[in-house]
Amino acid sequence: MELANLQRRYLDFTSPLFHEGILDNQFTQLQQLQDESNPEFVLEVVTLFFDDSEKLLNELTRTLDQQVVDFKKVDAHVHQFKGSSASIGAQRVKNVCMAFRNYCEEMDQEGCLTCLQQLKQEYFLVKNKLETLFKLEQQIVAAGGSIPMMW
Amino acid sequence: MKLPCGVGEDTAKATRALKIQAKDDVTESCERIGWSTTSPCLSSFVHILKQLSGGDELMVVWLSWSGGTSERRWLINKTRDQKEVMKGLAWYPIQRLSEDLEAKSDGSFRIWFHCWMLTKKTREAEFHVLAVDDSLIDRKLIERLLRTSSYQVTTVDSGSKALELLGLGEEPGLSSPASPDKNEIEVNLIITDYCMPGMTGYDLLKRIKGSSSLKGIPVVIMSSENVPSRINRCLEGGAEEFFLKPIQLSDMTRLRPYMQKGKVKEQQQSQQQQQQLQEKNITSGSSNSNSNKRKAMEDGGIFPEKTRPRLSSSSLASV
Repeated sequence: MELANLQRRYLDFTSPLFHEGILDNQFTQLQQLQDESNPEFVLEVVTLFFDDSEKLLNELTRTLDQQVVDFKKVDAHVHQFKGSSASIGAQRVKNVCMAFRNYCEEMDQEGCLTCLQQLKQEYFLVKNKLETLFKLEQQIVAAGGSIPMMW
Repeated sequence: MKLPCGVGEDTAKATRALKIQAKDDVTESCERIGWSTTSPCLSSFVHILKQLSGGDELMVVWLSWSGGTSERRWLINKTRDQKEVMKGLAWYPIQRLSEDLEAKSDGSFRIWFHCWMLTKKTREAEFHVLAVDDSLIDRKLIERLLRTSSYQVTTVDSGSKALELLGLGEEPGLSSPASPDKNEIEVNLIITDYCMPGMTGYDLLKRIKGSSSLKGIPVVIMSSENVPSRINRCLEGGAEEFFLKPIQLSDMTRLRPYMQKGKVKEQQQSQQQQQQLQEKNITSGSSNSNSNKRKAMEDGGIFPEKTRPRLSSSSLASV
């Protein structure tokens, strides 16, 4: 049955995300908050996260590119990024932010630049995965089924 | 209300038996229903509930089921005690109920339901929470968490906006509890982020606790950082509790007791104020200066020695 295949595919795609630590329990919490009265809740929050993150990454790139780096400003941006990634369950992004803040404290520009690279990588990875996840969900719903939950 | 145990799908019978009345008063609209059915009846059970609810979203707050053995297994909330239920144990949406029960049952045994049901609309108006956070994502999250827990929510993005909503001016000391035309909202709890630009959550806490009209409102602080000195500072500053972010649904249940306590305090405070007004009339001829009296009013009932014996012990309770 088509629906069963879609659901199987969804589970096969989603469970590794948790095993590999790309997403954590907080993402599951978000899913639990979604219901018939708020059927797009997760999508809405994650979209906000994408918009916010891309702004922050641009800001970070700009700030770290200055002659004299304002580490306080960098730290403030990373702090914000850390908060938002934690709120949606993007665990690996959050972890990079934590390391990033240490480099800010030490005013280590090299370290910060390396972290920024890592941050971009992890961010685009989770963005990619989530976009695929939402597509798979849409397919299941279009086929008349319900999204299998792992909790 | 004892219902016939139904084996099979007599929905008409079950419909007559399940009577749900939507009433304004929360306690009264809580109906206890017992029903036994085999799992194929599950979808009709849910269907009936939906029909009877008149389209409103029903929340089943207590449920147990038993498998092939006579052992009862608890699906949600381990108590049938109405008072406990009303304390705001986790709400269980009807949609999830049917999915979970279908997943658990295999058709070979009976499912026995004891349900308390409340129409969601009734519960919603009970408490109003003001959430303060500069992060848009976190505001969206906390709003959803609070709404799911059946609270009314208002979100703002800064401490100063919060104070504005609550009716406090920019400068401390400008509030006048006796002003007749204040149109600020009534709030039963304030939940605020700690790290915010401008006014921090701690600053907001101090302003609220420093205001005679607002100090009775319970305040909860949230932070993404686990800093013990920060936590202690907030608790000492009068915060009820300190939540670590990200906030979860289970954290919401911890809020209700503060709001209930707050409502009781509010009643006490207004009783106090009435008493103060009476006392003021009686002692208006005293030799104490006006400024002392004003301060006494602000402090909530600490009167000069002369009048103290007249006050009951409850109004001398310190905040």
